[in-house]
Amino acid sequence: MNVSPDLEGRVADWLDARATADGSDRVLAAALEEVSHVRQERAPSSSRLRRVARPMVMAAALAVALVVVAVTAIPPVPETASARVTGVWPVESDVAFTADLPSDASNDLYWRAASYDTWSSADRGWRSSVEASTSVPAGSSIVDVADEPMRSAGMSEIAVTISPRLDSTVVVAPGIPAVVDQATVVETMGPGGPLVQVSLSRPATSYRVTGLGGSQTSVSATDLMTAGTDYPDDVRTRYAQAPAASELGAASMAFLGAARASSRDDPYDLAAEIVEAFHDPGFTYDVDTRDIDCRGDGFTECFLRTKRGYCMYFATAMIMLLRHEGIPARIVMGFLPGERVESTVTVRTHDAHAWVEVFFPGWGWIAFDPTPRDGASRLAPGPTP
Amino acid sequence: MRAELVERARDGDANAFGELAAGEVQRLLVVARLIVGDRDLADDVVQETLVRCWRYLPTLRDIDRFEGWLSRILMRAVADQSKRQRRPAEVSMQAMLIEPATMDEVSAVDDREQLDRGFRQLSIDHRSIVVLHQYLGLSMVEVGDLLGIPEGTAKSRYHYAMSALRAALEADGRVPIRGEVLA
Repeated sequence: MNVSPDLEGRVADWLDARATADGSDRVLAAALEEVSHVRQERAPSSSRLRRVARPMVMAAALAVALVVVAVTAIPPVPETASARVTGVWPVESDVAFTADLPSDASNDLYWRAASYDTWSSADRGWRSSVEASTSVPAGSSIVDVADEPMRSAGMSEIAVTISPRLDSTVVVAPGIPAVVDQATVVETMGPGGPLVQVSLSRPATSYRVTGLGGSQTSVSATDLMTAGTDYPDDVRTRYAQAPAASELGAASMAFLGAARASSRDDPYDLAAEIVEAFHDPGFTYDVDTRDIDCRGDGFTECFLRTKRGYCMYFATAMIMLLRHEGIPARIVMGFLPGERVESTVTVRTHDAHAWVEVFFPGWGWIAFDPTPRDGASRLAPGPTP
Repeated sequence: MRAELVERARDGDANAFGELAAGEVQRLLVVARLIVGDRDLADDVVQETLVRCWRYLPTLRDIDRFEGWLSRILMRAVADQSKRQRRPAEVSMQAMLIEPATMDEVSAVDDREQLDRGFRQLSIDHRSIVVLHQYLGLSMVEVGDLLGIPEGTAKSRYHYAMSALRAALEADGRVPIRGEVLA
């Protein structure tokens, strides 16, 4: 049986035939029953969020400084100064950490561990351009010593308890870690610069951390489309430098041209279109790329020509393309949401992940996940729930 | 007056919320069942949507935008559900195979079975956009707003979804099925 040309008509008829709402009384009754239990714990009002967030806005005075940091470590880059692309992504299923979430937390919290600004095609790796570290006492504000721009309103704030593996001191959080209940060492890109990562001063069986503005965000697509390109100078300098000429080639330019042609002329549209294009079946997610022959092409060009790789490839290529267009973008290393049973999440080594943050004036860094994964929906700005 | 119900519910009036929810539940159920496929899972998604609606109503600023806001909560709940349910939903083969069909109905029934199977093979993102555009008749601007993506992205996602569906139907068509002789 051939597919008829009027597939849309067939689908519309089929959907109409399938549409049903019988049993709605039962669903409604169940929902209202549950609502009667949660009546006392409605969402925190925005005033509470604002009270927490406001000092951060002040703390986020713009500071540029250049030093170098020793960056530790999440799998698969344990205790090294950078996140390098080795050609193999870990697939082990041992537990990296467990997290206790508030019961109303979303299921799509990405766990943020580290961020870098500088890509080296020669080293095939990300590192921070400059390094500095500061000891922060238990319970003190981390965002006071790091320059992470924060919005004042609509910022999600989630406190979680993490039980890490004892051999790992890297702090993971649903967003930028604002406060940890243990002494930490905070690594920044230069004194008072953007956050690289936070480590516990000594190993602990568990710690409590408050994450701000993670993958759960209340920014709408319209907000981002109209955010403009009035970037702070330090953000532009650090995160929007055009990649080396060797990084991008014919395949990259063709890809970028197609993405630009099908998006409107704003950074959000372009970023979203790149993510969309990476979900084309022409791209293959593969955790082992050691057999790929790059024939001397730069990293991004090689990836966009062969269209095979894992998260580091998708994320790095997206950042290079955005930076080529003068749009500030950076890489984030961390973990996928993991497996949730009631309020406990188990995150395994194979959940280790790299994704992208793009800067929007007035909104700060917004997460995008360009890596196609089966069955998963994508990070997209939307309402807090 | 719905605006008034929304306002009262936002201010914590549980009775007003009950009335409001009663007016919305059918619309939510239809959409969730079309996208999720499995009826029990879809019912869970709608229940979760209504609970989140109550919980987050205090954050709704513009009462006139309640309907779109609630739809976004639904789409987010659908996405969360698909993450919990990592395996693709099983094809539900029920009813139609068993019911005797008259000759006139045979091709329509086969078409539906084939679409049932093909649609189940799409990702949740693709199923969502097809239902929003084809069933609800939303424009790509509206679809983009609901899914939190730009119009251009919504257009290309829809295009990819229909291509994927066509590919699934073509692959399915290679297996001899009842309707073949009629096609």
